[in-house]
Amino acid sequence: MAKKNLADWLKSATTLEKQINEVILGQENPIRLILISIFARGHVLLEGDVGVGKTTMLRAVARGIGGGYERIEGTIDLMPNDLIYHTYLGDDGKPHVDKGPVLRSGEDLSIFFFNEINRARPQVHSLMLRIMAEKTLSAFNQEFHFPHLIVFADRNQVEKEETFEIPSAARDRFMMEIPIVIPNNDGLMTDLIFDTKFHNADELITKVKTDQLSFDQLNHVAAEIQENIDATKELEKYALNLWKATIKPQDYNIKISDIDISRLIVSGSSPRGISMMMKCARVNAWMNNRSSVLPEDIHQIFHETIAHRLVFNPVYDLRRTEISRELTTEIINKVSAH
Amino acid sequence: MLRFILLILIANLAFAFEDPKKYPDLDEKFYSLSITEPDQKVGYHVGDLVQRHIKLIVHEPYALIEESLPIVGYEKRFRGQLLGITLQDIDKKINKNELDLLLTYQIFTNNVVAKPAFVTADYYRVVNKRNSEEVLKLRIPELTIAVSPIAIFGDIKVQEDMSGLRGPILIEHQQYLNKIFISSAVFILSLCILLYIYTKFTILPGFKKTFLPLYRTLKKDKKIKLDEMIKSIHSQINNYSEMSIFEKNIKDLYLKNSSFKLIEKELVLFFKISNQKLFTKKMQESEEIRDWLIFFCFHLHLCEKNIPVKNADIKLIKI
Repeated sequence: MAKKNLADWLKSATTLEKQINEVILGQENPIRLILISIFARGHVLLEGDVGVGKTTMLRAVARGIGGGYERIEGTIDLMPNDLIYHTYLGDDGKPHVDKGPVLRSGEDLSIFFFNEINRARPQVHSLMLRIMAEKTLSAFNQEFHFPHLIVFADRNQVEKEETFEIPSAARDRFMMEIPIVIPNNDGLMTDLIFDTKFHNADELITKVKTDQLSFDQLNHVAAEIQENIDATKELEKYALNLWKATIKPQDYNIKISDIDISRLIVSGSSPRGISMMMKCARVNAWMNNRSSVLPEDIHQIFHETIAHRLVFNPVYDLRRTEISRELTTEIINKVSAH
Repeated sequence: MLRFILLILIANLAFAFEDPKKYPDLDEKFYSLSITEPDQKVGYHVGDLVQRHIKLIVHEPYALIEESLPIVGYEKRFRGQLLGITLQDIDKKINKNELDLLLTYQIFTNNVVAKPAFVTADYYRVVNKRNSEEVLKLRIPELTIAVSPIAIFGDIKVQEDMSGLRGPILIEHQQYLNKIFISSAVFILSLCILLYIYTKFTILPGFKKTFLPLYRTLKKDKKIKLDEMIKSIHSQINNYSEMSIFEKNIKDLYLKNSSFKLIEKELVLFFKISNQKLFTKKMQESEEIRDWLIFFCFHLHLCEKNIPVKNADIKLIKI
């Protein structure tokens, strides 16, 4: 019964993926990774330039899975209470209190998009991180629950002024950090310029059918996926070696040009990070219609689930994006799976 | 005082230019002399070495004065002109009254004018042991050679130089034939070695030994399990390419050696078998797969040695 249900879910997930790919051009891999994070029930940090379609992509996903979709813009003067409520003077001349973006959808909140999270202050980060970790919020003498919530946060890696870098402990709460880049394909780029259907995002996302995945059942499906997708001893050994390679890459003969590899890593992947990686690998195997995880399933999500957790020596941190990509590629190239 | 020193110096200088000819000759009965001259008399060039072997026995009561022997580096003159022949080395053995001298001269002249190049006669001095006042000389005849093959003043006749021992100057083929024969033998031997190296089953120490030993081991060891076979093949592929190879990055293997592209279908099948056996545990032990893996390993070896695997030789099985 469970397997049949999973097969149906897979069909729905594949259909949704296809529809989103028709709406968002040239982002097949990020879309696949977002769907993996949805079925692995993990929060996602999106990294990319302005105007590459992150919001449209998330709106399309939110439409497909149903439930509440909320967003907030990170600014330097944003305070934690701005997420919870806002006050105003009503037509009746009396003060009113309305629920903020986090509380507005109540328990049905399925996707919360925190745009430019690194522009918000650390106080806001800590509230957000509590909501992410515990999926609860205390306000108005009441405990609010968000059982179906997945947070998508975005940060711009280029602009550093007036920003508050997310500390490594906070980064570790995110299951993935997904880079969103402009598609490197002349045909797709031309379509984005000249095909008018891509100019109106509101109308564009209506092509994605609503409530295809039933957000309120995703937790249950995610648990079933984790139970039903196997990982053999060989794969466990491989995952363990990958983890160890993130901690001491020099032990695996990993080399990066111009980098003293023995000084690069201050802290490797956390146990939470590697378990999140395996969770994603299982979902990826399921999305590839397999009942067991293969090394390739790990490879597809390795960089996105591990790179943002690694703490680099400050000397190398300025080149973090470039070095982390090289490091994860080298780890996959050097650690043997067999 | 200064005058006295000056006088001594002048007296020494005068002794240095002492003419050896002024001494009376030693009677022939008091010495025996034998000189071995070089066979070649003509055709010398600049840099050539000429050796002269002198054996001299001085009988009692006379003894040789060693200081009268030629000095290395001294270049003789004839009628005030340099001869262009210098004594380069002197190998001297003295045993009581016997002197064994090997003199090596070097030619430093290439004068195009036909003239003799010779070492003038040397005069060795002997002293009477019983009467040290009696100093006599004995003459070592001059050595006459020529830097030109042309006969000069009748002193050297080319026809005389053509001794039976040295033989006439002829165009001799034999030495060239010998060289050709030896070179051909070396060439054929090298070809044989190369052919051996590039044949299918060759293994040389430290030379491309990744897949052949594995092929031989897998072929011999019938008890090895399927998963161990797969792991060892993976291990050798990784060793060969110096990285961990998966189906996704198989192009890195082709970059290392493009011959592997010829067996791409087999490689893809191998990764499928590997995934099924190691990561899904769906595959049981199978003789057919074992045989195929051995066959595949042999193809890996051929690719490693750049021996092309023909399309017709590609073998695929259903899993």
